Amino acid sequence: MASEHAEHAEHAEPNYFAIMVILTILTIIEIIIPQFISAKLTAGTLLVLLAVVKAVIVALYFMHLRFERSILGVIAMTPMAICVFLIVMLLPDITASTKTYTPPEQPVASETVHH
Amino acid sequence: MSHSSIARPLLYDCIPDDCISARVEHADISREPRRPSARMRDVPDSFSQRKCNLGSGYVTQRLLFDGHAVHRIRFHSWLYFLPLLEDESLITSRRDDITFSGTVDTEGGKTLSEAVIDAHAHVRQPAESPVTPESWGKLGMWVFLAGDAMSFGGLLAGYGAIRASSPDWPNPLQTLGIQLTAFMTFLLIVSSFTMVKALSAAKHNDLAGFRKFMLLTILGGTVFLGLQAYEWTHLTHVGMTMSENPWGAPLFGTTFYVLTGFHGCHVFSGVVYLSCVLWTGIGGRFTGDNASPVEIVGLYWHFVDLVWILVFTFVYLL
Repeated sequence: MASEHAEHAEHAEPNYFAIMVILTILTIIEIIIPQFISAKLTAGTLLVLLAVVKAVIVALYFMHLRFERSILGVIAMTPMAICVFLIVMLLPDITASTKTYTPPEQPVASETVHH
Repeated sequence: MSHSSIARPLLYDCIPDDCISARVEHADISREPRRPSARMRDVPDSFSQRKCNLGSGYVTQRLLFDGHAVHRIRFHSWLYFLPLLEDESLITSRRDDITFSGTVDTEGGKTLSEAVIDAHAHVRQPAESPVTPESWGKLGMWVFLAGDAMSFGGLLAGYGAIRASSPDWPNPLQTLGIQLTAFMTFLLIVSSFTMVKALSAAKHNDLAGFRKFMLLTILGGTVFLGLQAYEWTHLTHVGMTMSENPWGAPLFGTTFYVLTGFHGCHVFSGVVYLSCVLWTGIGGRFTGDNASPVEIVGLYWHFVDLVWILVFTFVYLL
């Protein structure tokens, strides 16, 4: 069944031009968002969402992931899972270091120079 | 043909001239018939039948075409795949022990080992399993891209962590300027489009289209690199370096140059890689069924585009 699916994929070619236009439109929306939405969190969420959608479109259609055997999808998803894990592991570090960094007190140089 | 140059001396040494009859220890011929490679159809219909001993191995795959069955057999001794043309009826299957009689073309003064090597040379793919992709090169590229994605993921996560813990992070929208970068993003999207068009042209035997779209893709990558060089020069003049910048957190410059620089290296490699594929395929080597290298370079190029989409969002827009 898997090979049958792959055979079909060779014939069905997505409309690449339409995909390019969609990606361009999404990019334009991305550029406009910060100018119209001042709320940092809302704008940020929208931007990340749009970026992910664009990346997924590129992977699915330009990289043909949609028409491939599932093993390639598994390979493609592995780094995503690991990156999510990495971000989760970084979160405590980020929240713990919200205090501004102050350099330690320097020893007074003049005291050591005399001896 | 480089793969067969390894096989040649081994096969010459191992196969006696009066071949055929292999003891097959495990047979799995339940797979669906697949399309044979184009060259295998060229094997003429008339075969003189000879028998010889090939040693032991197992059937990895059975192909059907023009009423003939082709069995790919993996031999234990030297682990190569020998497609042998034969009548289905000549296979006797007894679970653990399959004896087959193959027919091999020995016309044109070829010895049997030469005929076997010829047949072998047309089979490029190793054993199939349910998880095996259409092309091993493609699988290799995907595995590489997965690793590369983790490199970028690590850099982006590090960037996020540094940025989140720096209160005086400059606003990239005001400091970096996005008009030029937006155009660069558009450029990469378009070059991704020309890349799929190049692959599509190669698959449809459109050599002129392949050349044109590959050239456009390379051009897109080169212009991107030029614009990035311009942008970097501009930012350096403004006073933003790896270690300091006029607006706030010094790491702003560090993360910016590392992320865009790492991506720029990928674009540069991609331009070189694309040029190599265009150079090799300019005479029509990658047309029709042989378009796999174009597809693989395409995967890399689209990945570079994909990463830029993320870098653009996280570094310039957020």
